[in-house]
Amino acid sequence: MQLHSLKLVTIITESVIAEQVCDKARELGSTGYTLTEATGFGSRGARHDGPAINTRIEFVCPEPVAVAILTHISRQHYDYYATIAWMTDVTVVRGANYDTTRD
Amino acid sequence: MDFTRIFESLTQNMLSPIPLCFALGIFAKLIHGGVKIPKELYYSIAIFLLMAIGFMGGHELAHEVLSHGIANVWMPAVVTLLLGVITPITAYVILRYVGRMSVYDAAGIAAHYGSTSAVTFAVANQFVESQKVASEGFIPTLVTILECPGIAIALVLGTLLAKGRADADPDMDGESGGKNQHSRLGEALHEVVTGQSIMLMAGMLIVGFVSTAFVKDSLVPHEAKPYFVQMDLPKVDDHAKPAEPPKEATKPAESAGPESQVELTPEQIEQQEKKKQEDAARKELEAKLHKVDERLALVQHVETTEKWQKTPFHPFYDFFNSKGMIFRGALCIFLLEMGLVAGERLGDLWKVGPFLVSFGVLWPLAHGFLAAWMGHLAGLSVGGSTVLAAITSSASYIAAPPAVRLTLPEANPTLSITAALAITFPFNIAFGIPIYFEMAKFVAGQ
Repeated sequence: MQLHSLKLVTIITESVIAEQVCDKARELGSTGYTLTEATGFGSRGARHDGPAINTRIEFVCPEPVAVAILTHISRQHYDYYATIAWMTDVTVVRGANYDTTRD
Repeated sequence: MDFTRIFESLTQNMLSPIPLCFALGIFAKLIHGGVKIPKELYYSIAIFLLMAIGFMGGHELAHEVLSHGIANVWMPAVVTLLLGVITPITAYVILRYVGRMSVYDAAGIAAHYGSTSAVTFAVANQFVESQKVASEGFIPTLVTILECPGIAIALVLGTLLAKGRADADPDMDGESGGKNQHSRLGEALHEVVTGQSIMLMAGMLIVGFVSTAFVKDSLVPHEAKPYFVQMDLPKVDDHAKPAEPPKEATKPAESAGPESQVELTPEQIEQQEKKKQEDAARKELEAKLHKVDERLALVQHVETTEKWQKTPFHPFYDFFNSKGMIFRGALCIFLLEMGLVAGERLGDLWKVGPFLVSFGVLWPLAHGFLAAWMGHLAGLSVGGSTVLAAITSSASYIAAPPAVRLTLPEANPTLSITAALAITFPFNIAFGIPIYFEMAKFVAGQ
């Protein structure tokens, strides 16, 4: 069984633009994403009650794609929307699933 | 204006279950109580309320159109559209030039105040009904008219005016400039027109209208409506004196004069006695007939109700009935949750500053009066004008926020949501609606 080292990108942002972020991620090379609802607190104020909700977006991708996405978010979204994002290392099986450059 | 009447209206309003549930929510939040309404329940009730408002609005609109054509509807609709255009503009101008807010903040808040809150409409409707005044049933049509233009105009204002400033400033990052904003605006406008609020309300309006207007047995007969506001049963007063008999009985005695009383023959006395007995018997008969009339009317009402309840339409009417128990109960739960949210936001009142707090109270009052007056001019009843005033002065907090977030992310959401949820909505629920009612009565000359 072959293991591949890839990156897991996690973005937590306002639900209003979650769809936008996902579309942009796919455009920049991610092959998919997983969404979860999130609440919490940050410098822009708490979101733990009522209808305002955050979305946690996660996807696995190669490092160049991850870097491109994080760069895009830091330029476009950080100023306007409550967003945090990071990437970590993951090791996966079936690495080809997550890489659109390979074929 | 009569201040004792206003005070009475205020207390009457505040002691009804719906505002009290709202107060309970605020209280529970303030004492850090453990009340937590599940999110899905909140969304489910919102869906039900929107569908019910739309459905009943369409049903009543069908009633109105089938009996009177659009005669009573077109002018209120035009007036509402006019208000929907005026409100975002006045809000923007006041916030920008009096409140000295940035273009983005002013436009963002104006988008909220230019639109409407369907929940405020529901509460206003309940209030008007509790006051036992007539109100037009097709007002949900006006709610849908009021919902979209306000947001659209405010967003366009914000985008155009902000773009002007961005172009003038060469240092700004080109990525967030003109092109991007236009596509964001387009997307936001699309969402405004296809968002949940408007789709459910307008959509169900059509459903209610079509299923009433074109299907047999779906018009609720006047006599079958179960609430006594619509029932015109004759009232029987057992102590009332019938109009004619006393005069006839006293006439011969008067015309005879005092001196002739002494000269009455026994026959004449007997005749007078007989007359008195006949009159008494007639009075009794009339009283009985009154009661028979009332019973007849009641029997007719029951028969019509039973007949109508056998039609296939009545379960839809009963479920979505915005005057019914399901709607009112759901509204109580919804307002409890709104109280929780408002209670949480009360802490933000210090952040938004005194100007916005006063704006959140004074702007609704001013535009409530404007709407009550224009509603009266358009031919709405006192109840109808009150509800129009309530929806005009209300601020959206469901449809507007995502649209503003998408188009004008520079706008601070704390300002708009706090103003709409923690200032204007509680104000309208507690004080505004009864005040608009008194305004509507004043404008109508009562």
